[in-house]
Amino acid sequence: MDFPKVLRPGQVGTIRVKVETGKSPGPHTKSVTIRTNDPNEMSHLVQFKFDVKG
Amino acid sequence: MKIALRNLHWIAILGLILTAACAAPDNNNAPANSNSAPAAEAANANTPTAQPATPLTTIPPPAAAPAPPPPQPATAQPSTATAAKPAEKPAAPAAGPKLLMISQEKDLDFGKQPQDKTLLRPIRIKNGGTQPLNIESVTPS
Repeated sequence: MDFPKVLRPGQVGTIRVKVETGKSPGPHTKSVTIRTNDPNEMSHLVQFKFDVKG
Repeated sequence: MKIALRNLHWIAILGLILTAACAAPDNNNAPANSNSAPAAEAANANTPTAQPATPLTTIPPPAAAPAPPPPQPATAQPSTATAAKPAEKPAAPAAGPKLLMISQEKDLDFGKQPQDKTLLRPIRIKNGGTQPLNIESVTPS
């Protein structure tokens, strides 16, 4: 995972996520947890969806 | 003549006795006056009790004076209410760091993908708060 360590107020950042589709066909869901110092949301779950062709 | 001298002697003695008697009543009058004076003080002592009675009647007005203060607390309450309103305003802007997701859900749907492929996708985030946002970790789960 490639992500910025600190974002200043108002700053936009990009987290680059790498996902392996694997060999099993069909719909898949993978998730990534982002942990920050946000007092209202210490961890944020991001889900990715993809469908592997058989 | 001797008898006349004796009478004069007795008259002199009586005169002395009378003068002494007159002097004695003076001493008695003095205490009598002193007694009369305390009596007057006692009378005055009674009157002072009557004077405090009037101050007691004047005490109620002070009781009426505390009545005005209640309006002051009433004005103080509105001040607290106004203080609460400014407290609500700062609550509107996000205090501290705030993680905002810019990427939409559709951006996170990769659709149909072939087998054994590595997908690289960016997730755009923003710090919508007023303090620096520290990204401690990004872990797959």
